[in-house]
Amino acid sequence: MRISTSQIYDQNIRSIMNNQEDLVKTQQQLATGKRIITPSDDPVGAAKVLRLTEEIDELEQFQRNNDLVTGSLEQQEAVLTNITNSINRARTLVVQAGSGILSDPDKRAIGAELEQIKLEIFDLMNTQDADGNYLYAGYQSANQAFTYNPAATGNAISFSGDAGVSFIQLSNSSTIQSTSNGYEVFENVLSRFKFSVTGDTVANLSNPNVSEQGTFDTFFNKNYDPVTSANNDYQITFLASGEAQLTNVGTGAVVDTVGFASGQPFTIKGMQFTATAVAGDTIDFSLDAPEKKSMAQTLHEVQEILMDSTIDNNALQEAIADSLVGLDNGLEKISLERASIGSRLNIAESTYESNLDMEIAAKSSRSAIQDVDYAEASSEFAKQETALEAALASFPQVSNLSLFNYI
Amino acid sequence: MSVDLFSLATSGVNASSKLLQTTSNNIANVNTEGYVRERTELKNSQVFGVEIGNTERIINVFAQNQLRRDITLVAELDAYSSKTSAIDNLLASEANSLSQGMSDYFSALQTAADDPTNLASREQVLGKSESLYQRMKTLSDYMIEKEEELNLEFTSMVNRANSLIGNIGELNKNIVIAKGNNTSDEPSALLNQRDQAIDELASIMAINVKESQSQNGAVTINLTTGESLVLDNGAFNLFELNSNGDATTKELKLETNFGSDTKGDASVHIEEGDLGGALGGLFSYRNEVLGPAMRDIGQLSIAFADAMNTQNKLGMDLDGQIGSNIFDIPSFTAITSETGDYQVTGQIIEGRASELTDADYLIEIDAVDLAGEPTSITVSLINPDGSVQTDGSGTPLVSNIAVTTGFNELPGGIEVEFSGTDTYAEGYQFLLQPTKNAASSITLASNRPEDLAFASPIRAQADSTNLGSANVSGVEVSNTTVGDSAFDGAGGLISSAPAQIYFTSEDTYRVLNASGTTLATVTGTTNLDSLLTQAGLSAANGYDFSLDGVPKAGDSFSISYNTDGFNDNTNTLALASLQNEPLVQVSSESSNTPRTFQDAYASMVGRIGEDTAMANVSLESAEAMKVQSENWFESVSGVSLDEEAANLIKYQQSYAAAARILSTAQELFNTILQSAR
Repeated sequence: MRISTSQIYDQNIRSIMNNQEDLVKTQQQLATGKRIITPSDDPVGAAKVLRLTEEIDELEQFQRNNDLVTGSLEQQEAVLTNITNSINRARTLVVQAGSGILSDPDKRAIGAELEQIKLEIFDLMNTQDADGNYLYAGYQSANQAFTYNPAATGNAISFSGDAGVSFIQLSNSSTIQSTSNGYEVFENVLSRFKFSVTGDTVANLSNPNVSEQGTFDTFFNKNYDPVTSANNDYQITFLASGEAQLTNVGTGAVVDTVGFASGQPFTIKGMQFTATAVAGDTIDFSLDAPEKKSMAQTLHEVQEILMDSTIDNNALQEAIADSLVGLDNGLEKISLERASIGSRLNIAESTYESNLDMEIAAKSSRSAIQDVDYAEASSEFAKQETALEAALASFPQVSNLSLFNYI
Repeated sequence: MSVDLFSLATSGVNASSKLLQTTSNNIANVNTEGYVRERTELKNSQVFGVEIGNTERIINVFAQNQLRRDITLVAELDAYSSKTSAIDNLLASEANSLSQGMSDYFSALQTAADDPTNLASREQVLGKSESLYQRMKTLSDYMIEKEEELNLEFTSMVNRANSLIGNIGELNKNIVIAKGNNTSDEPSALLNQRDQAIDELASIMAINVKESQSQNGAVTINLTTGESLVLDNGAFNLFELNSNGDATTKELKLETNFGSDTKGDASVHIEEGDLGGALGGLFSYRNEVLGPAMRDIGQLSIAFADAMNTQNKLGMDLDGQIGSNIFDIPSFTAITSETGDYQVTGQIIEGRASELTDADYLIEIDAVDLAGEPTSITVSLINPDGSVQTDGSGTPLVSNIAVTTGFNELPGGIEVEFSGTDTYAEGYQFLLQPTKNAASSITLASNRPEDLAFASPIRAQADSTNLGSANVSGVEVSNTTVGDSAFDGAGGLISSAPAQIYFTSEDTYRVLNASGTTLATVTGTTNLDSLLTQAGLSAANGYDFSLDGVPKAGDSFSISYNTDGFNDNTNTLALASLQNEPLVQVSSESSNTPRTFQDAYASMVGRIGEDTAMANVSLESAEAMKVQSENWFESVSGVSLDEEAANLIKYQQSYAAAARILSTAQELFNTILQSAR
C-alpha cells in the first residue's frame, strides 16, 4: 500500500495517544484502588455496588442500634437485680417481724428499715436513662413513672405512666423491645386473694382467715366473677347432719360440704372459720376484688402496720401474710422480666453476630466487584508503559527517514 | 519528415517544468488540510514532442464516500458519548450519590428512634434530609444546565450546517463556471474547498453526495432520509430550530427554498432519530439519556418526599400535634402554545406518589361546555422524545377522561385543574411535565425539629384491674385527617371515637366511646388482631390496635390520644422502614411491582452507565473504521514526500535532458552554419 507522509505522522500520534489514555486509566485505578472509576466501566457492577453499599450502611446502623439496645437492657437488668436483692432483704425482715417474741421497739426498728428499703425500691422504679427519660414511664417519659402520695386513697405508690414500650430495629426482619413499662413489671402484681365476712348468725365467729392460701387461690381463680358481683357472695350453712355447706348466693350452687364440730375450727376451700353454731346458722362472706400493688406499696403497708403499736397480733399476722404473698408475686414478675431481658439480650447478640457475618459477606462481595486487583493492574500498567515507550522511541526513527535527507 | 528539434526541446522543457510545478505544489501543500495530491498527465504529441495534458486531483470517490460515512458515525457517537460520559462522571462521584444521602437519612432516623425526645437527633434527621435534597438539587440543576447548554449547541450547530449548505451551493456554482472556462485544468482549489465543506457537513449530519447529471462538476446533497439540502442549480434548503410548547425542547425543521414561482415552499419536520452526525448524536443524547435521567431523579425525589410526608402525617410531633408535611412538593403548570390565559395546573395527589411514573402528559381537549370549560380530554403518556408510551402488551397509554371544574385525577397519581380564565376550545393541547424539574424545586417545609412526628398519635393500654393476660401488641394509624377521621386536630379525639374495648367473655367484646356508649359488639372473634376493623370501626376513625395473650371477661382496654407520649418511637420506626418499601414506580405498567428508593437510584445509575459503556464501545469501533477509511483515502490522495522527492529528481533530470536537446539543436545549427561558411 502506498503510504502518504501524513499517514505516518497520524499513525504515530494516534498510537501514542491511545497508549497514554490506557496508561492514565490504569494509573487512576491503581491510585484509587478501585476498578470501577465511573459507572460505565461496569454498569451492572456499579448498580450492584450501590445496592451493597446501601446494605452495608444499613447493617452498620443496625449494629449501632444493637449497641444501644444492649446498653439499655443491661441497665434494666441492673435495676432489677438491685430490686431483687433489696426485696430479699425486706422479705427476711418481714418474716422476722412475724416472730411473736419481738417487742414494739424491735418492730419499729424493722419498720424503719423496711421504709428505707421501700424508698430505695421506689427510687429504682423511677430510674432515668442517660438522656433523663424515666425508664419505666412508657411514652410519657418526661414524667416520673411512679408517684408517692401517702395521703391518697387506695395505693400510696402508684404507676402514673402509660403502657408504651419502645422497639428498636435490629435487622431488616426483626425489631426488639428495648424498654418495658413500669405497670407490667412492677404494678401488675396481684396481692393476696382474700375474703370478707359480711354477716353471720353464729355465736363467737373468731378470726376467719385464709389458712391454705394455695387451695383458696385455686378456688378464687376459678370462681371470682368480675362481671356480676352477686356471684362473689357465698354463704356457709350449718346443717343438722353436723356439716357445713358452702353455697354460692348468686347462682345457688352448692360448692362444697365439710364436717363441722361446733367451737372447733373447720377449713373449707382453704378458708378457716372457728364458730359456735347450731344447725340453720349461716355465715355470709364475699370474695374480695383482687388488688394490684407494687412491691413498694406492699412494703409501705406492712411498714406502717409495724410502726403502729396499737395493731393487734391477728391483724399483724394478716398484714405479714399479705406482704409475703405480695413480695413473692412481685419477685415472680421481676424474675419473668429478667428472663425476658435475658432472652432479648441473647437475641440481640445472635442478631449482632449474624449481621456481622452479613456485613462481612457484603463487604467482600463489594470489594470483589469494585476493588482493583493490584497484581493484575500493575502488570497491565507495566505493559502499557512499555508500549508507550516503544511508540515514543520509534516515532523519531520513522519520521527521520526521508529521501530529502539524501539529495 | 523533418523534425524540429527546437520545438521538440521546448515542449520537453515546458512539460518537465509543468511536472516540476505540480510536484512542488504537492510538496508545498503537504500540510494543507483537505489537499488532494495532483498529477499532470503528459501526452505524446501528434507531431513529435510532448503535449501537456490535464492536471488532475488523484481521488477515489468510493474511498471518499466511505470516509464521509465514517466521519458521520464517529461524530454522532462522539457527541453522544462525550455528553453521556459527563453524566456518568457526575454519578460516579461519592459526593453526589443519592444512595449515600438516603442511607445517611435513614441512619439518622434509626438513631432518632432510640430516643425520640432528643432534639439533637431530630436536628440530625432534618439536616440529613436537607443534604439529601441538596444532592438531588445538584444533580437536577446540573442536568437543567446541560439542557440549556445543549440547546445553545443545537443552535450553533444548525447555524454552522446552514452556512455550510450555503457555502456548498455557492461553490457548486463557481465550479460549474470554472469548468466551463478552463476545460483542461480542474479548479482543484475550489473542489478541495467544497470537499472540505461537505466533510464538515457530514460530521454534523448523515448525508448522501451525488454528482449532478445535468451540471458538469456540481454535486447534490441529500439527507440519508431523502430530504434535499443542496440542489444542482445552486439553490439550497436550510434548517430551522423551533420548539413546540416546551421552550426547552427544540425540534428540527427543514425550510425548503425551491426558488420557483410555481412550486410553493414548505416546512418539513425532520425525524431526529434518523439524523445521524453530531446533531443526531446530541438529539439521541437528549431523548435517551438526559431527558429520562432528569425525569427519573424528579420521580425519585417526589416519591421520596411524598412517602415521608404521608408517614409523618400519621404521627404525633413533639408539640403534641398531628404531624404535617416535611417537604413541600410544588405544583406544576402545563405548557401550551395557545396564547391567552389557559392555565392548567397539576399536582401530586398526596400519598399517591408511588403511582407516579417518569412519563410526561400530553393533554388534548376533546370537548368543552357552553362556558368554555373542558368536559372531556384525551391524556397520552409520552416519552421525553414525544412518542407515546405503551403498556406491557404494546397498547398505547392513551385514555379519555371526563373532567369537571376543580382537580381531576389522571393516571399515575396526579391531578389537574383547568383554571384559566379564557374559554378553552376543542383541540387545544397542553404538555405536563410533573417530574422533569421537580428535584430542583422540592424544599423542606419546616426547619423545626419538633415538627418531625416520631410518636404514634394513639396509645392503647390494658386497664390495671384486668385479670387476663392480654396485652396490647400494636397500634396502627391509617388516617389522621381532621374531619375524615376521629382526630380533632387539637390534640385529642372526637367524643364519638372508640375509647374503650370491654370483654364480656374471652371472645366477645364491646367497643365503647368516651362517654360509655356502646358503638359495636363483636361476638365469637377468633383472633385479637385489628379489633376495631373487626368491629367495622377502623376505616372511619383512622386507627386500630391488636392484642396478644388471652383476655378474661371483665377486662378492658382503653384507647386514647397519645398526650405527652413523646418517648414513643412507633412512627419513627415506620418512617425508617420506608427504606425497604417498594415506593417508586418502574414503568407506566401499573401492575409492575414498584422498587425501593435506593433500588430505583441504582437502576438509573446502572442504565446511564450502560448507555455510556455502549456508546464508548461503539465509538471505539467507529473510530477504528474511520482510521481504516482514512488510510484508504490517504493512501490514494495523500502527499508522500518521498515520492515527490523522487519525482523532483526525475523531472529535474528530464528537464536537464530536454534542455540538452536544445543545446544539441543549437550545436547542430552551428555546425550547419560553420560548414556553410
